[in-house]
Order: sequence, then C-alpha cells, then structure tokens
Amino acid sequence: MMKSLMRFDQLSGMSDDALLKAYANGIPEASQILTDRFMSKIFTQAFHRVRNEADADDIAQEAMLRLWRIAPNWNQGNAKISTWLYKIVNNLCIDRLRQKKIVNLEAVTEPIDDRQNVTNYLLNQSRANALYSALAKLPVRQREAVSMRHLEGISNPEIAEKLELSIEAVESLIARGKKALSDALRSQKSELGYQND
Amino acid sequence: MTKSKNNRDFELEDYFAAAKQSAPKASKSLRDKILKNSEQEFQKSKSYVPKKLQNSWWNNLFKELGGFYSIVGYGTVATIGIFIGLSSPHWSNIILQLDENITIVEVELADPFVDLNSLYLGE
Repeated sequence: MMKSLMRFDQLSGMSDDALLKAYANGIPEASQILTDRFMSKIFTQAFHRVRNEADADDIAQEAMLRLWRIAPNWNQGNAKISTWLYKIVNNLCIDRLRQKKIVNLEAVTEPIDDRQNVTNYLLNQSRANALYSALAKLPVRQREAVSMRHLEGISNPEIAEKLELSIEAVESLIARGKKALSDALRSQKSELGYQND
Repeated sequence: MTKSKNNRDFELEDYFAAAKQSAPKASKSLRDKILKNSEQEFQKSKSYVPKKLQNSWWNNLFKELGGFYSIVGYGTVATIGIFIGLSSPHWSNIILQLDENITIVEVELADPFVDLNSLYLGE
C-alpha cells in the first residue's frame, strides 16, 4: 500500500509524455493521473461542440481509449498529448454531428440546480442556447478559437498551438468572432433579459 | 464607442457564463469507464509485450540462416546428400572405373619443323 502510494505520488509530478510512457511500460497507475488531467477538458470540449451529454461522454471515452492504444507507439517527438487529444476529440465531434445530421440546439437537459431559482435557470438556458446558435453560424476557425478561449478556458498560446496558428492570429480570430457574436445576439437582447441600446 | 464595446463584452461574458453553467461536468461514471478501458488495454499489451520481447536462441538462429525458404533449401540439399550417400554406396566405384577408362588423346605439341632450320641454314 505504502509502495503504491509512493509510486502514485512520484507519478503525479511527471510530464504527460512521461506518464504515457510509464503506462506503456507497465505502470497502470499512470493512466489514472492522465485521466484526471484530461478527462474534464475533453468532455467539456466535446459537450460545447455536440451539445449532448451522452455524446460528449462517448466521445471523451473513445478519445481516451485511443490514447491508451497509441501508448506503446507514442513518439515523444510528436505533438503534445493535449494537442493530440484535442484533434481526436474534434474529429470525433465532427463524425458524431455528421451521423446525427441535425444538431439539436435545444438539447441541453441539465436538471435545475438548487442554488438557482427557476427564472434564472431558464434565462441562463435561453442565453446559452442563443450563444450556441450564434456560435454555430461563425466560420469554423473563429468558432473554435472563441469556444476554446471563453467556454473551455484555454489560454491563447495553447489555442495557437492546437490550431497551428500564431498567437496574433488567434487574438484576431477571437476578436472577430466576438464581434460577430455580439452582432448576432443583438437582435435577441430584450428576449434574453437585456435592455436594448 | 468604448462604452458600447465594454457593454458588448460584458454581455458576451454573461452569455459565456450562462453556457458554462448550463454545461454538465464530467461524471464519475465516465472516469470509471475510461479507467476500465485503460485496464483492459493494459492487460492486452501485457500479454503482447513478452511475446514481442521473446528472442530465443532458436529464433535468432532461424533468422541468421535466412528464414523459412533458406531452411527449406538447406533441408532439401541435406536430404538429397544423405539419400545418395546411403542408398548407393557403390556409386563411388562406378565413378572410379569411369576415371580409369577415359581415353586421353594426347596432342603432339612439339615443333614438327624443328629440323628445317638446320637444313636450310646449312648447319
């Protein structure tokens, strides 16, 4: 038990690449740390794209499964694991959306949180739905950049790495995306609880 | 202008916050499923790796000799050799007899005009 705890503790300080190598070389505990590092991020990424919890669940599970499978052949000179996972999740989301063909923008079925009153909850849902609708109309790169920055909380340098762009290009994409979002949402302001200009 | 931009950003932040709040969190069951998959893949790779790493002297020799086709070639040649050696031991006598009976035609290579020089030169 002590040995196991020590090993877990040592593993926690390791880089993502080193953990994956450790997993491939016979240390299964490494997968727990990798799961804790990436699961929430890829689930959130998937959810904001497919807007369905069950689909996001499946996609996150599939992406991690592919990570375990590639572990023995993982080349440390390759892209970062986070970037690799981002691309896998993105592709899986695209596949899932193609399969469904129709993106149901009203698909959020989150139970009402006790801390929120019903009015606030409904207002939030309406705003979220309006935002997702407006996001869906943006060009792909803008949508990805805005979604990563403002919904998934990823920093600009990381976004630049994932999208293989310069930081300046990412900043520009985000600025243009936000402007387009504002324009698209302006017409619904009063319905969504804001005063018109 | 700035005020309008600030208002716009402020409202957008509201929308983003609403979307984040409405998004579910990754569940414990998802974590369990991911870890179960990792365990299964780990077991698969464990059963696979020793086979891959297994380099017995027999395998090495097999590879050194050139693989399956070489081994078949060596085997065929060896079988024919053994067959010849064991089934027809008198063949060696036949070969010896043949050797003795060969007629060699000896060609006279000596110069037939060797005496002409002395004849014409008056020696």
